[in-house]
Amino acid sequence: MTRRAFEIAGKLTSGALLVLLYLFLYAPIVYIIYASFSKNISWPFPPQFSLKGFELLWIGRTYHEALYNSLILGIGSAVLCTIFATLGSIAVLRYRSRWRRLVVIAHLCPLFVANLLVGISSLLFNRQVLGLPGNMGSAILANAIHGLSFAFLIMLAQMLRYDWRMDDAAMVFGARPLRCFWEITLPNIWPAMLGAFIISFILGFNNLEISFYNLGATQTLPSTAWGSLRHGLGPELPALATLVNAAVFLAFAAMYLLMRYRIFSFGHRE
Amino acid sequence: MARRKRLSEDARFALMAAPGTLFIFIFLFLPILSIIVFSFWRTEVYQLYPDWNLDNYRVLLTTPTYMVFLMRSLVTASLVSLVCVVLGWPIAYFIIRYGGRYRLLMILALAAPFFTGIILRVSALQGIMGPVGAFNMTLMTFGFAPVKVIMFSQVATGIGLVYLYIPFLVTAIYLSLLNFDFELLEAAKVNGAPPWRAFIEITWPLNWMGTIIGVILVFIPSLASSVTPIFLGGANGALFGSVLGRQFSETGTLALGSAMGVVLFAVSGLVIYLMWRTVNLRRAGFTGKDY
Amino acid sequence: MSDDVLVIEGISKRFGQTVAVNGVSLAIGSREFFALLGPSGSGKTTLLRIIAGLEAPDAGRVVINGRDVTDQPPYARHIGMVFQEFLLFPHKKVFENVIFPLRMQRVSRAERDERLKWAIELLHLDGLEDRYPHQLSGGQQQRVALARGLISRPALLLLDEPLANLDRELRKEMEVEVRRYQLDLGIPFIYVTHNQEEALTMSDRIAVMHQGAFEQVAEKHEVYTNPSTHFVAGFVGHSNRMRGPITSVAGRVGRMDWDGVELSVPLADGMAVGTVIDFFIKCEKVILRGPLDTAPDGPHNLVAGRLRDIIFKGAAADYLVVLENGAELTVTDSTAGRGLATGDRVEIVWPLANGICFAVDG
Repeated sequence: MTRRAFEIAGKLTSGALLVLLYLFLYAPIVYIIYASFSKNISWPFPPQFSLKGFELLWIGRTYHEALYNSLILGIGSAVLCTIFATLGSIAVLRYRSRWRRLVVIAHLCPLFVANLLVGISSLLFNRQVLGLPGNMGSAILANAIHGLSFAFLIMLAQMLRYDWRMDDAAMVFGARPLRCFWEITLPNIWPAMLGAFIISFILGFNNLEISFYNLGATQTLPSTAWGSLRHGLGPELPALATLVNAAVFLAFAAMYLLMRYRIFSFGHRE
Repeated sequence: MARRKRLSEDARFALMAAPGTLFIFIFLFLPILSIIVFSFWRTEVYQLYPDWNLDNYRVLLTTPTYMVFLMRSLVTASLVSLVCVVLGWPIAYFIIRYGGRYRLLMILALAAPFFTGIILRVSALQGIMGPVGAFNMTLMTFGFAPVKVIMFSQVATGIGLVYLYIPFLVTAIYLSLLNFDFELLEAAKVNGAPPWRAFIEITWPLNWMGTIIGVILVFIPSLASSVTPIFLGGANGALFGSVLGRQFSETGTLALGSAMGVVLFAVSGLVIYLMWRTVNLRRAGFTGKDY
Repeated sequence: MSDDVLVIEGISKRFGQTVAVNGVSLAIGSREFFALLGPSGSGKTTLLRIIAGLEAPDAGRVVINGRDVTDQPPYARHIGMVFQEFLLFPHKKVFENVIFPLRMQRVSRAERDERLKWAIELLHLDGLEDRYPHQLSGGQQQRVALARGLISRPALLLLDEPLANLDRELRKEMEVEVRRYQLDLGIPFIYVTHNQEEALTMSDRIAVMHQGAFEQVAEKHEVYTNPSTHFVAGFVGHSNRMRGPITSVAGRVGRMDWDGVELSVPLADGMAVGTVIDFFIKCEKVILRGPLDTAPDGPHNLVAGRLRDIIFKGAAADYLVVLENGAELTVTDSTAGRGLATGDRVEIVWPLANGICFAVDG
């Protein structure tokens, strides 16, 4: 085969693989969304419209409680993640220190520990050593660990593009460190902080393996979904899937559009 | 020399870096350490007692079931990682090379599904692959027999794990290639290197780290997967992670579970180390230099 | 001196293994325009940052208006600074940028508005107050940066190569403007630059800096006409450099052998026969004699050669002459009525007293 033909073949194959991957990833999602609006969720053909699942979600008290818990969990861990990630990324990029590499590695460690391990180890540690029984606080802390790496990467990408000399200028003109952060740094990095918050919120909200072990009886949306899966598929599950998918994709679409039209950058560099 | 009234740069660094680092230390590092400790204790009535012993490890190593599960998990995770790399590399390359203005959109589209949470993703997948899933129902409607192998089997679990974690790998390689200067390949071409040679000498050495990180991000959750095998693996599909989980949610054998956790952690670490060394050495061999 | 605004004593700073500033001391008075001149890497920007408080020195003191500020952070020093890249706050409008120092000092609203008006007028920024930095040209941004630096009536203003990012025409204009501001305001300016023409145009006193130390600190004419070290002689002004060993000494005058050409040169103390020296003479201090010119009077050096090229610069030109010994000399002279062409045989002469010698070390 000539070089050129080889190149084209390569391009076509990888392009085809990409398309297949998208199909692979999205077919189940599209299917379950379709099923959620159908009467027969197992085999929704011929198509019959029904909103039963959504109704059940709307009136079901367990789901309301679970939603509430998931929201608290998401917000709680997102707050922690955003704060730690912002502080850490500023520390590593603003100041010279031989501990920089260690700090970066530390913040990225959670990526390399399986959710399951984080879940069980935090359960035991919090209970035995900290005297913190399995409860929302414990779950928030454990989820924050998981989300911290993601938030950190986002903030790191943003801070890499921040011009620290502006801080120099502000300091020369009389701004004390806190004032400088408020006047100069924050207005320039808050979109990335928002992005980090959204991402860690989503992670905490949708997490199962960490939250489950730390919360036990308290239900989160994912754990109710798990229960639903185990004990027979009701129409609420596809409906829930539709709602969650819609929310996640909306958030991503919003962030993408903001990045695309350069309103905010969330740290990404094209 | 005058007295230092201002905080030194080191002090300011420490002040800013401490919260996150301490947080990681206290809530990740210490808990892992603690399960190592607890693995040597005893459980009674859902409580841990510091009765130092090696029973847990003895049980794990002598009862064949646990080792079987571990082996099965290792094999599954390795295969899943392999499939992800083989599929993921050309895809990431394509996005970077030919994506143009849509690169960001393409990678976000790949990453977004990951965030919807494991349960919803697995149930969606079951909707397609399960016994009454779309795939088989379609087949049955047209008179074909359902494909057995993709439901309640190791293959199903494998497919599920690829489904769950391939976005990680593609993103990792994407980020690595993002910083790769493709003009280096032009230079290689001009100097007489055919495409495969250019890949081995130029592209791979500069991107192996990103690839390894991506592989690790797939391997670790796959090895520890507990939920996926329960739903896709069928009755005999349990993997190490699911059994581990049960020690905490059902049987309450905390010490044994801790031991299992330690084994899982150790095995993960070992595999990562081996991966790192093998790839590193192999690369050094090719180019003759030690990076 | 009690009326010194800035005094630095024994300032040293190193980064890892590199010594950036090596024990320098300086005193600057209240109405001085002071230039820190040096090539890149000489430590001048580091020194400026130490004065500003953006870097902490390893040793030494910084005293502003009698107050030891060495330990003080920049926001406690009541100084102003203008940066090469302007460093305007991109998310703030022009007027917000300009009043920033006043807000940090909690100056009253009324006073703020008054000074804002003053600064806008001074820097000709009328009409631009509500724009954002990215909507301004380079020159306008620089004026905003200057306004911001001046508005708080600081004890001193530090300028770090502020004109380097402007195009040539604008730079010439701004050189005059900046000098005017300094005279009007009566506060000391410390101006860092690698461009010696800028330093010579704008300043009163110059410190020539090289490898972390001051080579010479003097009034600008002094630095120009009487360089005190080898480096200064080579760096300031355009000079011809002739190197060779001393062949004979007679008091303060000696003869040297420059690639076969014998020259009479003024010597400094401690120069003996055999010492290899560099003889510097400014290009405008050597005289070009064409075939039709009269002979010079007084004791002089004379070398003969051929005119290789004429670099025309408007009112003056650089005449490049190749000598019999192969070396090249540059003569800067006016272009009026010379009537010379490339290829002409010419002579270069200069009075014996002109020029300066330095031993070559290392």
